[in-house]
Amino acid sequence: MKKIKIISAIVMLMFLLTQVLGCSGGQKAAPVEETIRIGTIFPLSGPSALNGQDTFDGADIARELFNDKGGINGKKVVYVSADAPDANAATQEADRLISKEKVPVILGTQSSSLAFAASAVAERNKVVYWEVEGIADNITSRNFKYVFRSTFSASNMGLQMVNFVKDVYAPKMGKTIQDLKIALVYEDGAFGSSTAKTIQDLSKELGFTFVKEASYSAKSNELNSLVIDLKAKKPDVLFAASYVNDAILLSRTSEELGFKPGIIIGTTAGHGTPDYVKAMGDKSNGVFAAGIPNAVNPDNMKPEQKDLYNELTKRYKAKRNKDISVNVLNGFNGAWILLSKVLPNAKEMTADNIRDVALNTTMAKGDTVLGYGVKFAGPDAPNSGQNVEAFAGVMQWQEGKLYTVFPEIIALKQPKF
Amino acid sequence: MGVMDITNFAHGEYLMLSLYASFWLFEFFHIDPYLSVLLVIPLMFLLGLLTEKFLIRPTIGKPMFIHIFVTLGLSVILQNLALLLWSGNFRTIQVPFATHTINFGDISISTPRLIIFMVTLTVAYLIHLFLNYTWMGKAIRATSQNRNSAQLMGININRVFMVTFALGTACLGIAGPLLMPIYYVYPTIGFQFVLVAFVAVVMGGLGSVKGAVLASMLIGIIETLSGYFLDPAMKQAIYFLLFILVLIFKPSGIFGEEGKVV
Repeated sequence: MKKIKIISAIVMLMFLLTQVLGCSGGQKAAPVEETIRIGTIFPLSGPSALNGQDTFDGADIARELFNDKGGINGKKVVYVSADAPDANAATQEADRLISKEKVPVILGTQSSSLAFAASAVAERNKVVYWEVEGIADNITSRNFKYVFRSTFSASNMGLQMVNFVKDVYAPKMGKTIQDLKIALVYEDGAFGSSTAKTIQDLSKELGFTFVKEASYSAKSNELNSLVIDLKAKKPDVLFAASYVNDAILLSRTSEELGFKPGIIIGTTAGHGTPDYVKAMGDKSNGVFAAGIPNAVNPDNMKPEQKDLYNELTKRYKAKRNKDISVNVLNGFNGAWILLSKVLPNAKEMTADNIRDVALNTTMAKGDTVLGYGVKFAGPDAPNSGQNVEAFAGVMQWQEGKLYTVFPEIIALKQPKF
Repeated sequence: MGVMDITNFAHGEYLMLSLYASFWLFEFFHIDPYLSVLLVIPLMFLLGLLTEKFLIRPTIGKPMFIHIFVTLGLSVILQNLALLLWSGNFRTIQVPFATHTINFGDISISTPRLIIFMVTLTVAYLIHLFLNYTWMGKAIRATSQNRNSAQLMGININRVFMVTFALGTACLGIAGPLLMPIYYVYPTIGFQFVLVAFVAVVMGGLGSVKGAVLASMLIGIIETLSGYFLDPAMKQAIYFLLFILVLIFKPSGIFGEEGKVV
């Protein structure tokens, strides 16, 4: 009995340990006078390490490029980098970066749960938190004064998913969105839940209903029961807010159990990743993914953005010997806005100065490599700190490649049904 | 776990290594995972022997916390080593039969999962035979019942420990290649499987092969049914609840011998 108690306690302890382990110290930076130090928090180990490393690489290439172009009045920017595999680590690392490393701004984080936790620490200490990829609405909906987000928020992604069905798929089928049978599945973390919430809210607004709504843990190692139920409901549209492993698991289980919805619209966090297409091969063709338009077409860019984009792809290829992912683009774009437009205009490198400059920063549509402009919602607006100009796109796998198909202004190909 | 009085917290990481082994054999040499079983089993057996000899042996007879720290530490090292060597990517292989199913009317059964089920039952039966009808098997059972008496009967318990541990890892050598066609591998995947494995082993009764097989089937059925009828997000909660009930009312596990686990 005693042994069983101990073993059970250890199993739980182990669970906690695996959540905490992996947090590592940051690199020591050069003396303060000669450099501008920025804290970074990304999941470089643990389950989100793949995406986290990519986002960090993007942000780091932005830093290198910025320094190569002269930095700020000759001062180089250095990152004091921290690894946060989970929310606890993110909180601790944010604390450390602020109290020990004394950075005025923290750049992060890739995963919404981590951003949510770390940005609260920054806000409490009046340090700017610059989020480049976590898209959960609740990061900006708290109306914090020091939290900025360069990318779009999840509600915009959910909006584009629904818009795509309403404006493209339903008319194509000769129906309205209210006539379609729609199912919604989502992982139960901050990312999946907030994406689902938008779609649920839109369903009330537009008057469509779901034949099935269900959440699941992204750490599941089987989704049979979910897929069996989905199969029975025969949906025309499956919205899936998944991460990579559960997207693969969902698709493989669907394949095994013979579940084929009319269309699947996932997100670039799961169904739109290179690992997904590697796992599913030809079966991925036709699957949609909403998120950051990955296939930005350099030919449509302004010359300055085109140069940046080419430099990014070249440097990333040299660093990792693979093509850039959406995470790399996001990390790069967010960091580039901060480094090239905000920091050089701050009188001193204090959080309050940086914040004031950020609130007054505007960039026109087409002035970033992702095509959107920049304008941060003010402290009195809802979602303060959110870049209101940022938008999501919808992509589709066609012949093993992901092409932007929606909205039309950024589409590279027509959607195939 | 029942024989050696040691809880191997790195068991999940050995599964991860076994998955990676079959992944790389497929990636580099295009060896079908169902064939690579034949290579991965001896590899994992050998790895088990070495681990036992160099890491576990020195801790035998020491307080329980020593082996917990050793195996837990090993688990952390293996996870991070995998992250360093093979990155955090979700690795998958594509084989045509991965999503093959057998259909009976409305019921479809996934072929690779059916194969896993059959192999698991066969292996469990073989282990049962091994433990009951071979000299080594009897020696293992004797050692698990009373280490000192077994030694007095001329059993080389170091050898018994080594074989027991290596058998455990060799079983993972079967599991890895069989799981590879339907799953993915990444450095921390072991934990997803090991938690439920602990529940199955304790629920079935430590040291009982029959108990572990039945408990794992029970958990699987509960997981799927509760996911279907209640909510997929609830499925783990339900079997953990059952686990707690078993611990309260029959702490030795469903098939555990009373008094053996105290």
